[in-house]
Amino acid sequence: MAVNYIDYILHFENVDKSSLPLVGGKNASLGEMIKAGIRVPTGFAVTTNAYLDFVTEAGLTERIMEVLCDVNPNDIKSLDQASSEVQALVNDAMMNVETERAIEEGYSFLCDRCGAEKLPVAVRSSATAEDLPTASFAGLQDTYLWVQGIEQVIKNVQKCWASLFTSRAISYRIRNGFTHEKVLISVGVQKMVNSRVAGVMFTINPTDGDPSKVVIEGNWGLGETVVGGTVNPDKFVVDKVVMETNEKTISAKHIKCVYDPDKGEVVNIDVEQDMQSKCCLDDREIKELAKIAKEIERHYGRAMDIEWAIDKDSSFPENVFIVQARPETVWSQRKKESVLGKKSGYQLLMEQAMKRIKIAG
Amino acid sequence: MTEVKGFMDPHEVPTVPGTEGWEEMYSYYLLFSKDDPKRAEYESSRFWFRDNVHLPDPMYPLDPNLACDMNFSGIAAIANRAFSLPNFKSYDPRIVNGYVYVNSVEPEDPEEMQKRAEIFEPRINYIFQNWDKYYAGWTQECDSLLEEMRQLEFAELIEVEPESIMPELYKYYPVHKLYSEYLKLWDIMVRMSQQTKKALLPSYGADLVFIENMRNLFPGISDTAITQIAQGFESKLFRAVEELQKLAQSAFNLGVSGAILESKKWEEASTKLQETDGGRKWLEDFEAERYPWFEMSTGEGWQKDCVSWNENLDVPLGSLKNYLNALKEGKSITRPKEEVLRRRDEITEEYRSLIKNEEDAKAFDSLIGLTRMVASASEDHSIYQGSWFHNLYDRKLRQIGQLFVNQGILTDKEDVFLFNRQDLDCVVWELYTSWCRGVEPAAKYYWPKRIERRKEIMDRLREWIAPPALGIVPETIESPTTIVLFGITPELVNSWWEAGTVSEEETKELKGFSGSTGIVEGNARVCRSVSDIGTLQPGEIMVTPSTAPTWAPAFQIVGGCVTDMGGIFCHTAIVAREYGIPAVVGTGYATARIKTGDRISVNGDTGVVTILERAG
Repeated sequence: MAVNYIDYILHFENVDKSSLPLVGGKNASLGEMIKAGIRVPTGFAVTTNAYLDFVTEAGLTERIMEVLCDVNPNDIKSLDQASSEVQALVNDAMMNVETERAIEEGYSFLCDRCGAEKLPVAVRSSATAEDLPTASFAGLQDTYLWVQGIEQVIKNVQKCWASLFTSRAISYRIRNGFTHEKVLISVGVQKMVNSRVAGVMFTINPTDGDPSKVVIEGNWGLGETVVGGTVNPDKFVVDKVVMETNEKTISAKHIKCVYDPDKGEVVNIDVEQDMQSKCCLDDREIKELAKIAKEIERHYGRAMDIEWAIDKDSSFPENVFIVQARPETVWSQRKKESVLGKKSGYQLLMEQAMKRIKIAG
Repeated sequence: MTEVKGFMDPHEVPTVPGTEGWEEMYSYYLLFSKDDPKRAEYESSRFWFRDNVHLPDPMYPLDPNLACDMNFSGIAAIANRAFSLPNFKSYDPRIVNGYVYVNSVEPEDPEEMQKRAEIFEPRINYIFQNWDKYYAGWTQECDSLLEEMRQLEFAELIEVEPESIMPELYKYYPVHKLYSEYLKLWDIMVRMSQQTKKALLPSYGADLVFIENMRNLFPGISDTAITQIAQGFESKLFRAVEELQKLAQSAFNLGVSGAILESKKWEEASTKLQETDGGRKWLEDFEAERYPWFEMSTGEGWQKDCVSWNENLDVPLGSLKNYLNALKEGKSITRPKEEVLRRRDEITEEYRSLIKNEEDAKAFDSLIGLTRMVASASEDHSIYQGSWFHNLYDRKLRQIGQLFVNQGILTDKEDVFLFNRQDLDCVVWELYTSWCRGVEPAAKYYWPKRIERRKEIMDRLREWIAPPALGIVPETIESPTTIVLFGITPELVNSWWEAGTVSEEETKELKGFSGSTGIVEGNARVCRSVSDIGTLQPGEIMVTPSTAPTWAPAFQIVGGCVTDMGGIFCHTAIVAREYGIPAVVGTGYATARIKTGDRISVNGDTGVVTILERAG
């Protein structure tokens, strides 16, 4: 069926939660946040229509299913074998012309808007089953950073499509009862933030589920070191009701992730000696991040897990960006147990009256 | 053998040179003593903390009668004998080198505590369930006691009774009034000392249980957030300050600010104001407000140097000037009460909405209902006790002092405070007997040189840096009144103990409680009493033992505050937050380790004070 190629890409401004089947959870979320007035780096989504048409027109559907129905999920070799076969199929197939043109138009629009010839972008997978609140597929598909130029963009979009079939992804879907055909994929193409500092934050305290806090973790450079857990980040616990920082833990931050123009890719490098023990966020940045986290939580009506980045190339507060937001999946599923031990006010008062000084020995 | 952590043993405290014989200034039962081995053992094995919140200065001999005897017995009578509080009996005071140290006496046997709990529970429930009626009755009784005290008269002694007494001589007692008024004074004071505690105890209890459970619901919640939620605003404390602000605004509107701003003393201002219509109108308004609102004490009122605004109008004059200067610059001087209340309710609602468990939400509602209900009781108790009761008491004592001056026993009526209670009983009694007989009281030659010696001793004692604690280091401190009333926690005690191991020169950092958030750097100004606040320069950081209601003008000038004593409900914390300036309270050693002119940094978020650079 002929589809108007405009449906192959959708700019984030034109996307919201109802677009999830077309653009996947991650991208739908970005659109929602833009509508809520949150600062998100500009970009567009390559829709599931594009993926579907690609897979259909390249005649891949049957061939993929052939390979996958023979897979033994408990046999790593079998998984790896199937995975490389399918990924090769996807990567080697030619993208149809309409999709290519759509992506090209989308990318040059971004470049014009940002005043750059070959705008560096992040190319991120966004599967339609990925960000369901009851399951966390996070990290199962790939992300490509600092991609520049239309050829690279197209190549990496295709790689994201292929990453639907990594061994991990195949095995996860089988084990959790997700069928392969139902999982479609969208790919986000988003302006890179040239991060001075980046990280994650939760709108509850992930350690104890305390809902009155925003917990922020950050490191120098791109946020991947924090998301990927390769470094001990600085940690800030903010009381989001009175907007006070209750705790500040500065870690020794040895490594940061930055773009290396010579290598043409992002790499992990050593942090300068004097920056390792320096606090990566100042007080107003902490407050701004906490404020934004609160707005996002209010918009979604639930606890959120957020990725943020602070751009070196612009100034505060316009340089504080939200790169990703998804529902928190651990505490929101737990039953709300009583913290006070199911006691009434008077019972608590009586307990207080029994407390005293203890002398040692 | 495990080493027991301890402060200096109370029996080992060295005498300050030049103060030999200081012990006879105070009643024998207030001294640490080795006379009885059991008592000595008790004293050595307890934790004695210095009461720097209420009693920062060396005690005049008469001061302990009020601050220790009356006050602590008052607390005990209510807590121990009326309420049978399970975890507390009383505070037991001692004096060493003129400073008061306090030990908390608590039931230790779990069975005893349980028995007491069974008595306590219905009683505290009764009070909270009938609070409005109880509180109204309490206020009435306080006012009635004040009136009784006002009626006391220590009149001039007369040569011969007037003719008019003859018809009623069968029931009239010459000279006797001196003695009977004196006895009445103590009787009223005993009742007054108990009276204020009847409001204080329930309100502290409610506050403490609220704080503890907020910390359970929201681990790591800051003290300032908690007090923002708990605070009440209807108290007489705020009312008194509001009256002063109203007077400042009215002076500004009437165009008479100049008369006030240009005067150094009240007398001067008053004279200038008499010269204009606007000024005279203002003085009328002032007279209308000064009783009772200007009965505000310049300290907590425990020590004789804390006079009321009415007795030293230069103090409110200073505040008026500060307010007028702010008005001239177009700034607002009133704390926007509606705004503060609205914010309080907003914050409270937000925390409440985060409590997802039904039972916890119900408990929260009941605890906050309780703490709001009793909120003004704590501040009102402070006004009645600190300002009104104590000021009247001091005034009556000064009347007695005047009598002594008239009889040649003293040269200055202020010196009446250099008698301790037993001495005073003796002198008043001797005055009665000698006046009846028409002979000179022996007090005339017995006391003057002893009074002079005592003054010398007091001067020397003022220079001694009293340690924050004596005796052992306690393992935990959980009793409500000790924490809230004196601001003592195990962390604070440990930091005192650690600070004690570091010399003055080596001290770089002091740790206390976060009283009010924010970070500020500035030059320190050590203010030992309210009379020092005139030396403060704008932006300096005030370092004091503690503060009291009439230190308010200081808060408008300074950039931050640091105190030796105090917990989250202490005066400094509350007012610093109102004025939006950082404060660290309860450091234990600040006035000893920081010198005027030192450059310091105050971190109200973490409760840390850093000495950046020493003066000079």
